[in-house]
Amino acid sequence: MAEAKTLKTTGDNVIVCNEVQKWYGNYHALRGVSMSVRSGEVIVILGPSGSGKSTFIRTLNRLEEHQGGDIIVDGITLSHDVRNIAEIRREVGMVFQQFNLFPHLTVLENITLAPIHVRKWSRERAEEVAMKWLTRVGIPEQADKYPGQLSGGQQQRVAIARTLTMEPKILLFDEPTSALDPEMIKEVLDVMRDLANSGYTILAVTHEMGFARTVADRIIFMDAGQIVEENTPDNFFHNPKEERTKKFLNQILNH
Amino acid sequence: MERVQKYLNVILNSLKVLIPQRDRMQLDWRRFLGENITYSGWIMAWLAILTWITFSYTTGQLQSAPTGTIVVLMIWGLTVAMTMLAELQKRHTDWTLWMKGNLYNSITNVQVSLLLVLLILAAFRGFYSYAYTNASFADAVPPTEREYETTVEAVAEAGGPNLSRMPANLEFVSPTESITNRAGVVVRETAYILNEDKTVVTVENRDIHTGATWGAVIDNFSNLLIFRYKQPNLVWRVYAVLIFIAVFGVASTFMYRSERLRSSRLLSGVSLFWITSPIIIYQFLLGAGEGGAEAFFGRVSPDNTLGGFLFSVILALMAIVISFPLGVLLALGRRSEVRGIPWWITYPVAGLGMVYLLFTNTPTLLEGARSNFGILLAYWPILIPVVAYGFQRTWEGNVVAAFSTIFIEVWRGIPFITVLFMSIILFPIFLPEGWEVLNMTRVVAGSAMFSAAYLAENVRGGLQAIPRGQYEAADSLGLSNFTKYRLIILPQAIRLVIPAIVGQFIGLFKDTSLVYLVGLFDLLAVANTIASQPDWLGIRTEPYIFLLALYFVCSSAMAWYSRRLERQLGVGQR
Repeated sequence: MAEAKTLKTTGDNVIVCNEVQKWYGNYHALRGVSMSVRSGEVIVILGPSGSGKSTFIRTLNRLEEHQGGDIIVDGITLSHDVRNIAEIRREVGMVFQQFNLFPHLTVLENITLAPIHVRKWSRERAEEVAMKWLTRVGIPEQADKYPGQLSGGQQQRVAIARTLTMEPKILLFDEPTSALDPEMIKEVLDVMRDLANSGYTILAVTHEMGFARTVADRIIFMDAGQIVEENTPDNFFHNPKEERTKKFLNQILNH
Repeated sequence: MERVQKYLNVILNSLKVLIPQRDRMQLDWRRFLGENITYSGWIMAWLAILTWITFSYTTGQLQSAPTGTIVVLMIWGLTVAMTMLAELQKRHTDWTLWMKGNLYNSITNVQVSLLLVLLILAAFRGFYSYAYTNASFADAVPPTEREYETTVEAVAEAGGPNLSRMPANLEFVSPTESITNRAGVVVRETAYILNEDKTVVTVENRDIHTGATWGAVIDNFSNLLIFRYKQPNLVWRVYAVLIFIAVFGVASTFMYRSERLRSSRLLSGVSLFWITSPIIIYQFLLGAGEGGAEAFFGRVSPDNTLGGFLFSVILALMAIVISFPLGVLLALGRRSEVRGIPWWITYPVAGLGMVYLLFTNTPTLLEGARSNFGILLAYWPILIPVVAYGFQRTWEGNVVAAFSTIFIEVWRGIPFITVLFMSIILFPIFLPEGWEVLNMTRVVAGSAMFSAAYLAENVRGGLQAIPRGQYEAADSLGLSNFTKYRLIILPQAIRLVIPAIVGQFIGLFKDTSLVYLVGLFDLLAVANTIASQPDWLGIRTEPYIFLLALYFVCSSAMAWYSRRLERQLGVGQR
């Protein structure tokens, strides 16, 4: 843990966002979001629903197009250039709320598909790495099953293994536990905690306050398409700067 | 009512003795009647009508064909009794439960089941006597001649001509009597020979069968299946194709089953070969010349030789094989979101084009114009900006989507028969001089385009059913667009629309019989020629029954395969 901490503090900025703007038709979803992430940092983005936090992390790997401002990921500026986008997506892995596993492929095929076709690995190598990650997330015995035969927690762990097999530098989690039954949330959070401790750069949108408190290096609070507050977990939960943050914490902590 | 109830209870009680049981049967007749019959006047009327129909029909049947009807009645009565008993005892066996669920779940259904079984029996009996008992299987209509002596009076009595006034020693009396069958074929002719002693010899020339004349089909079997490819110099090609399909089919079945070859390059090669095989087989069948390599590619005119079932199958398969990738591409094209041509390119180009054509094309058209309408038409370049505006408004400059949409809508807007006529009559006009495309190839192209347009819409429906998350997951993993569609989106989308696609292919297969109208010799056309053969004049029903059976078998096979495919591919679907 201590080793990982030092890595986090010495890293360069792997993500730099400057005044990112996003509209859905007339709806202004992101109103100038500026932030940066150092290598190895674990950042949790909190905020009420509709605050633009999901939209924001989805702009980082171009699942959503931003219409103003700059996003620089791993030194590459996001633009219309398809090659830039492909390069960024190779370095940025994403885990979704609805898992988004490919239902017509087995777990192993789900995981090895991208390494074989994007990284051009041999099938043997891809399967070896895939099994390594499946073991790490604790379900190597499910390799030949189809996603539909797994529980929600297992599916999400497969999705994480699928993302990790691509060996990304940055991991984006888009509410990874929101679609899970309560008893399955822990197994996914344990995996995320494990990853955070092994030095990955992580941006997570989540409602798991416990995770945010214990694992995050920094918490970003968003509301109405803007960053309201950036703070360390300790200060964020016990000594928030902004009125809006207090209101939000009040709502979620005292229900 | 009470009396009936009493009697029924007596009967049921006596049955109770026959069948050992532990539980008591309990039946509240009032409740039973209320629940099943008397709750609605309509039901009672309906039941009465049904009972009357069944009763009168059954009694009518009993007179003509007793055994079958009696057996059915007995089975019906027995099974109804069994079901009721089981129901009363609440001790169902699998059989009685099935019958209760599927045949006898209400009083009305008890009635209907009997009526339906009797009707099916009658239909079957009718068809059986037509197709087998009374049918002729002879190669050609065999005239059998019978002579027997009769008297003048006997002839008159039997409804024949009055011979008593005829001069003696008359050899033939005309007109002879003749009986024709339903197809208009003379099956019985009678001639009378009047001897000197005024006795009559009746000569009957008869082929009396009231049923089917299967000889027409049997005699034309090879015609119907392979038409002129039964010629000895061509038939080996058909055999070669069949043997090849059999051998390669068995071999590839083993390959597909093999665990070692799973998702290997060899297997995808085999699949690709199977998919393109109709085109290869078509070329092989066309390459019917003899002699050297040069002559091998020379072609006997297939428009005259390829026909019958072989033609129908090849036509349908080729149209399917060509239309499938085309349809998928069109579906993707219609949904494509490629960056369009910006308006500041489209509008100036359209304007310049209009001006250019107004100065070059319009004057020549004006010279040739013979009416006010012609003068108006000469200014057609004015329409170019209008079209350009529509293009920008509707598709925002997306050429791919515009082309796909227009292609699909135009082809869906034309009736299939028009497509066929266009491909036969109109298409050659557009070809450069000296070019010639076989009628058959043209029809295949037309059918494929037509089918592709419908298929595109089916596939588009499948694409729309794929959740956004699948695209996003593929994107976030960095898959290229091509790989994303090939491995993630299309396999799922197409699997969703397999029933629709196979339904469409079955329709296409059956629609191939329309090429008969543009003069190609498909199965239907060959069947129609039978009616004009001297041996089988006017016989149409039997070939049509054969067609029906053949089409039914093929279509069912396709439907069965599609269900199997769905089951196989459905593994692990959510």
